[in-house]
Amino acid sequence: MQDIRGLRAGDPIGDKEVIGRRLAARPALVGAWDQIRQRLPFDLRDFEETRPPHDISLDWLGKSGLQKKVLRPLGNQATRMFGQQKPPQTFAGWVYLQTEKVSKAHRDFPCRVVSSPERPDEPDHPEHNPYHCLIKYEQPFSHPHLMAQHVYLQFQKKGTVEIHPRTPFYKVPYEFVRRVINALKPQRRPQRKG
Amino acid sequence: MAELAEAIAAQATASTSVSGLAAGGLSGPTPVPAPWLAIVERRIRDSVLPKERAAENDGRWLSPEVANSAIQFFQQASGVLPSEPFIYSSTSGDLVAEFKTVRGVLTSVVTPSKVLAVVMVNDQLKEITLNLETATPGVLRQSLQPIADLLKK
Repeated sequence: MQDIRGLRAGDPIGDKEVIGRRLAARPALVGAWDQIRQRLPFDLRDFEETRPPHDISLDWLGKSGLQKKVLRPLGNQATRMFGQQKPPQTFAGWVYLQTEKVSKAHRDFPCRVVSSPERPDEPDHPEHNPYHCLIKYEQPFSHPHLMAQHVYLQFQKKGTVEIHPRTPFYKVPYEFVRRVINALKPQRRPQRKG
Repeated sequence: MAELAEAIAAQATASTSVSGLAAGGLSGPTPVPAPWLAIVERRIRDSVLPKERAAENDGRWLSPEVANSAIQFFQQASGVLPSEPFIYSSTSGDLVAEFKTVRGVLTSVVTPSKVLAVVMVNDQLKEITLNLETATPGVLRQSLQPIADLLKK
């Protein structure tokens, strides 16, 4: 993966730079089949870190907006890594925002977003990710769920979703028009024999 | 005179049982459950992991311990909670309940022994942690009331 940013471990991420959290398709509860789906395609599960110290992992996605040169290799890596999990998961994209929307969100919960490249000297390693960053809170939370809840609520309110692979811009209206035309077509009646 | 005393005693017994005083104990006002409580209870009960499927839980099931504490939480606190929750299982198997209103979002995580609630209203974050094993229904409602009120104002 080509490193176009050159981040080193511990480097702070700029306020206007874009960071994103990887999303996966998540199952619903068996008994809650009749719940109305949420508007956003992500939930608290996408922000839970199972391994201590529970600092939330993110990807650096661009200087001032999403950069395709970064998204493409990261998306391929995420698809591969999510597929290798047990049970396998489907990589759905990112929810992203500007760093300052997390780091300067609340005076009561100060935090920093810092770079933390994974296996920076092993470009051929499957986990090589020069764009990996972490959210580091200055005061530890009493429970890892609380940290996940805090970050989730920030992304829920201020984040934007980038679906991967992105549907071409013409696909949605094209699909809608095709369905309307199909619905308006007169149904052919089966011809009776004899 | 004795007949009059008996009649007064009988009347007193009748009135106290009506007002909730029975056998010398005081039973407080029963909280009014939210209209969605039965639906959410059913969703949780129907999601309890069957023993034969213990190995294949990928987030579609809840453990009996989490389900019990979630039902207890909703039975005790549904009256103060702002709306019908959207529920799902967390990665670690706890129950997540999200309450959305026009003012903001309250997320709560119910573990077998605790409830962790975080609310975000007008860019303000507030959190509380409650121990389900020790908190009485009254304490639970009193603790949740202020953050639920933030969403109702």
